[in-house]
Amino acid sequence: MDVEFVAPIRAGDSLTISSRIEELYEKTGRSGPLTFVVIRSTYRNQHGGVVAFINQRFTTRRQ
Amino acid sequence: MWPGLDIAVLVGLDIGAALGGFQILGQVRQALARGRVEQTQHEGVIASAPACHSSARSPLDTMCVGGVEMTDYDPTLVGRVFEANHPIRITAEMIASFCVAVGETSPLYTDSEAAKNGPWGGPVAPPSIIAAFGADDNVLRLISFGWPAACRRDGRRVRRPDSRR
Repeated sequence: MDVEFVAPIRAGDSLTISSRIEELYEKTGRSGPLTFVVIRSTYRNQHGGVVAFINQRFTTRRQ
Repeated sequence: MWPGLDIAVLVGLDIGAALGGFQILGQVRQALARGRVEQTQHEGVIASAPACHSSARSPLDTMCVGGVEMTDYDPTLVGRVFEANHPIRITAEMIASFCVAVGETSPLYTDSEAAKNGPWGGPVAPPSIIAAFGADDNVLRLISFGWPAACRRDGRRVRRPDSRR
């Protein structure tokens, strides 16, 4: 997980979160196939300005 | 009981309670299927993303993305966007309690007079406060895994001496 801070957040702000599936891919490891998902969440304030991005990478193993 | 349970379960899996964790994960999955899991945020704001309606035979069988069961790798899901249903309202009280919780003492966050001379011309929220908003909940509802190998987060819950979990 990594976070990019773009603009300050102040009391009174109303933040909305929009999350997008950025990447989806598979790799085969020693334990079998692994699926990776990268999700990028964008935080915007009530003025529509971006205050932060959060990227998260998830891994799951299938059998 | 339900708010935060999914997070707690993921952490439980992390610390190695695999077999018990699978059972609990199954319960969470059922709860998701019934649409019962709603995450209560600060200020009573409820964020809800699509629930995952999984018919997985075992927790390892499947992964759900945006409420869509994905038993196989499905590249068409790339580019999908999910919006949190409700905005998060930031209040001065929320900022103050967050500062207390993390031991942040800078007056730039809580003292409006002192913050006037700061870089932002007034008090702002500590940047890390966004980690407390349940973004993870939003994302974790967006995708739910049979085996959350890379999930390791429990920063939002406050543990007290009498906490059961």
